[in-house]
Amino acid sequence: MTEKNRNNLLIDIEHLSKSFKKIKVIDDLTVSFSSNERVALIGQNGAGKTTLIRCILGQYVYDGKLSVFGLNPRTNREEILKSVGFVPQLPPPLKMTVKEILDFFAGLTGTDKNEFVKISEDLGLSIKNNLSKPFLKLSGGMKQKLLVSLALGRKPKIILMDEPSANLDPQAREIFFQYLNNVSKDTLMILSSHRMNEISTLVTRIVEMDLGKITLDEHLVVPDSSKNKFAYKIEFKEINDDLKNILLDWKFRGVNGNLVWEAEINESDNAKFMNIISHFSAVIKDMKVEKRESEP
Amino acid sequence: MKNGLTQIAILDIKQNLRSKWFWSYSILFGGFVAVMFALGITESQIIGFVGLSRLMVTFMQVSMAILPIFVLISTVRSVVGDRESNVMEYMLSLPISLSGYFWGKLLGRFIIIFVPVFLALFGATIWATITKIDVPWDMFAVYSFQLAAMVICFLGMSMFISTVSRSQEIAISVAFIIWLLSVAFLDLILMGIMLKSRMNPDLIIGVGMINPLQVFRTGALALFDPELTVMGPASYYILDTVSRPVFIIFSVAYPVLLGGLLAFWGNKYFNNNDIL
Repeated sequence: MTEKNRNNLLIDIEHLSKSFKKIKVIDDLTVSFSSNERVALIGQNGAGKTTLIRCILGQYVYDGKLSVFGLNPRTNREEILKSVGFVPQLPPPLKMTVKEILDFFAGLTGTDKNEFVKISEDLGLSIKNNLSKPFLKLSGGMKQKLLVSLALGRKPKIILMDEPSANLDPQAREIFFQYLNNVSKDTLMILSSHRMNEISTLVTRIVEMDLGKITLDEHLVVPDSSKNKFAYKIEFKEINDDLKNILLDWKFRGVNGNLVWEAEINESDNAKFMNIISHFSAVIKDMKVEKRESEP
Repeated sequence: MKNGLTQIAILDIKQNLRSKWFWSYSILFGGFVAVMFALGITESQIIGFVGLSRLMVTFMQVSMAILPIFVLISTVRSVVGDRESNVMEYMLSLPISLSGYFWGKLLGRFIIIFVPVFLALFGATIWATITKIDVPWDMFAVYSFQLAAMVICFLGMSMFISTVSRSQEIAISVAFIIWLLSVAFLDLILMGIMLKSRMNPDLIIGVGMINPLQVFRTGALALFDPELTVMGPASYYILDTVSRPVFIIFSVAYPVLLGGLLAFWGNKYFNNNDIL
């Protein structure tokens, strides 16, 4: 960890363990997150991602050390959570109307209600037309848009999102990711997601969990000033839509039918791309990578 | 910024105002008073008390039968229900203290349960004043306190059960068992059997006095029947052990203390264990 990161440390976890009925869901986990990071928290179901998020939110008791803003999340809940925006995986079945939710959040967090309204409207949810509707009666996408606006409207220092774009339509998803991209660089963002292709361009760090342990922790930041490039030529055994979309996102072009793809990737993005493509190793037949250094 | 107690209480009240159970419950109590007036229950004279006092005593007996089960069933699902439906995961990601959430829920429930009962009783006094029936204000005051005490008692119990239970089914089952035990250990049923089988009177009275429902019943009876004649021999023992005023104070203090202690333990458990 660099000196700068240590100074900006927002979440510090040391030897964290959490068990449910003697089953270890988080196993001696040590990791820290700083204010300038955008983290993709990935892993299979049951890897411990949600449990880790809940520990950070002070919802579980645990063994080990966990501090958020240097404070214990169990004993300093209010102080910590006023600076944390959270979007859950499943929208809660709140019986409140949209108006009541906005009033409740504004009152509780001291945020101007219009901040929530603006983001909701930008995401395509008309607050005016839905003010008197119970949250429970909104569609899945509408609920998610409101939850996202409630999390982002508070301008938190930490954003925790558990599969945040799952219920969003493609247009709202695009706007949503633009919003995340525009979030202050000082904000720590932890996104738990299965859709690596969606968040790949957003994150600066990938943390992969399996059976309660961290199996991969990769910082993807290379100085933006680097002009070096990596020339890729990848031959696939087969290709599906997900993979094709990722390749297109990374400006790959298909040659020799649809199974061979080529592109040049900036050095600053290379580690990020390697992480993403490693998830498709089973369908890669051959891969050639050549570093092309820029002239001084 | 507050710790969320007030906001959670207001939220709980608003949510319950939308629920069918609340309106059924309010109509039941309000309707009961209206029916008693309509049936002329204030006009006859029974064991020395007339007018509104008769209505009030009948109201208290009905409250004893209905209120605890209403409180238990409507409240035991609150914490465990929020936990099961993921509402709690979301709500407690907000800057709300765990105690603020717990006591806010309890406060909201207290208001939503006590206010309709109180208003029904208070409405009766207003109607009596309009129709020129004597209103026993001292009785009204004590009954109001006793009703509040019983609500606090069963609310504290319900919140404790709701907090420590891992599923709504368990919480409701435990609530039913507690209610059945409370009813079974009333002087009317099991206490009568125990007395008949000549069990130790200390044990019988002891069992009665730890049963908040029995304490409430005896306290309410003591107000209009100073000798507690309807309770039979147990009345001598009670009145010999403590005086009538002391027992009336006990009938308010004990349920409040019991409910308060259970709520305190429930809050402690909530603060020291996994929320979800």
